[in-house]
Amino acid sequence: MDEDHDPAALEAFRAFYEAHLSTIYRFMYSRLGNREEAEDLTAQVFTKALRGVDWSRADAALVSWLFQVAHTTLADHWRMVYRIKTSSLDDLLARGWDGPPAEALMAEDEPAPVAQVEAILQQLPVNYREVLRCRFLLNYSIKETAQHLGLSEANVKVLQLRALRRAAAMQAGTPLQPEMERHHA
Amino acid sequence: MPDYVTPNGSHPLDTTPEGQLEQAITALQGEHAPSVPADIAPDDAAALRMAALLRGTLADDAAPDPAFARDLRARLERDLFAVAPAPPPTAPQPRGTSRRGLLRSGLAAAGGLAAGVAGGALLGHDLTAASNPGTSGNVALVAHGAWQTVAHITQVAPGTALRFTTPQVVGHLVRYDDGSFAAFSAACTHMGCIVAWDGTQRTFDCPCHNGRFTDRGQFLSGTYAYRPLPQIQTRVVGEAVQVFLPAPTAPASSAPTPPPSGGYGHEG
Repeated sequence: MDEDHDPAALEAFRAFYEAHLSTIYRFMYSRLGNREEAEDLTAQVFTKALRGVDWSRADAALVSWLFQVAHTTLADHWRMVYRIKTSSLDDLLARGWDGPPAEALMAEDEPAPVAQVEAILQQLPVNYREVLRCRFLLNYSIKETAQHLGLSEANVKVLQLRALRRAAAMQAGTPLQPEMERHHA
Repeated sequence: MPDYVTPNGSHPLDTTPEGQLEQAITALQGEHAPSVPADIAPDDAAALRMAALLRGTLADDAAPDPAFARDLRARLERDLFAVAPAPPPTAPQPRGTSRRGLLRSGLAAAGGLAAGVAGGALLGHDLTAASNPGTSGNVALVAHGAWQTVAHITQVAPGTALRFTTPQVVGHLVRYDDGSFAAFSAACTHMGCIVAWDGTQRTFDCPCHNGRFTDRGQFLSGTYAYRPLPQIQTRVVGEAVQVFLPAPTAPASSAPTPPPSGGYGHEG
């Protein structure tokens, strides 16, 4: 496929990779919450996005393309793992990329997960917020959480499920859905 | 330390929504993909995804693991530019690799290492090219090895599969309707999780990312096209079903001490 591996192309690839690996990985990690999946999807993104790239002409469009692949890869993953419908992205893919500049999707100023998550946490009842804080901010085990909150482990299990269901419902009701909705604008 | 076990299903599973969620949270805390039941209710799926989002945003250290970054780059260079992989660096791993390293070790202990990691080299890459339904004893593979009995012939009825474990490999011995046998590594060629036999569909299903393989080890579905499950040569001697495996060696990678970096130079 790739007969002439000219050194300039290799250098261009390396620079591109170094420049964007961290962004893509953090994007994935922030949505997936674990290293294994974040690494898996990051690898998929680069593998898919860079196939057949003409490195002598790589420019900003390639960055856009990379980010677009990141979004669709995540959407596909969600659809497969969580059975969540993301048909709008299929449409998008079929049409080709005509969304906002990819930078906007990934930029620092994206009102994304952290702020949204914090807003959701703030609106939860205090016991819900506490259990989620123990599990996800402090990384407590269920046992530690139970001790901390003075509950039984069974109670913690029930509480955290209710808290997450509530949080998910709140998320669904806000203009959050980071990737999905934005493309409709 | 949570008593999380790898999503290989070796733990008695609590299938209530509360139990499934707790298993997912524990997996996330171990930097591991949560296992999402295929028949999960939408509400519970949303809760579970919220758990991932919360952990992803609230946990601090989200920089890519240096070893991962290096390996992915090497893999891409190999795929895109046919650049030969550089010799593995010998520098000690900085912090951040340890958890994943532990997970890897765990997988290795579970038998995934020999099968999934070294499997390509150990068993040969194009084994499946040689696979042939009728001639399960004739798959060309391991040059130096030994036959090991993994089952009595009556243990495996036609149309079923039996999981076996040796020091080198975790595998499945499959018996087809015509009575012939074949054996495959049980380590998913995606990330090394141990696939499970689905006797109804006659497929090998990976619990980690829903990868599926046919009863001949061929890729069926998954996040992308995984390589086929490496096939292992089989033969029937009397009433013993045997598989041909590399003789146990003592490479550095099998040392019980934390592997320096060699554990990353592969695709999971």
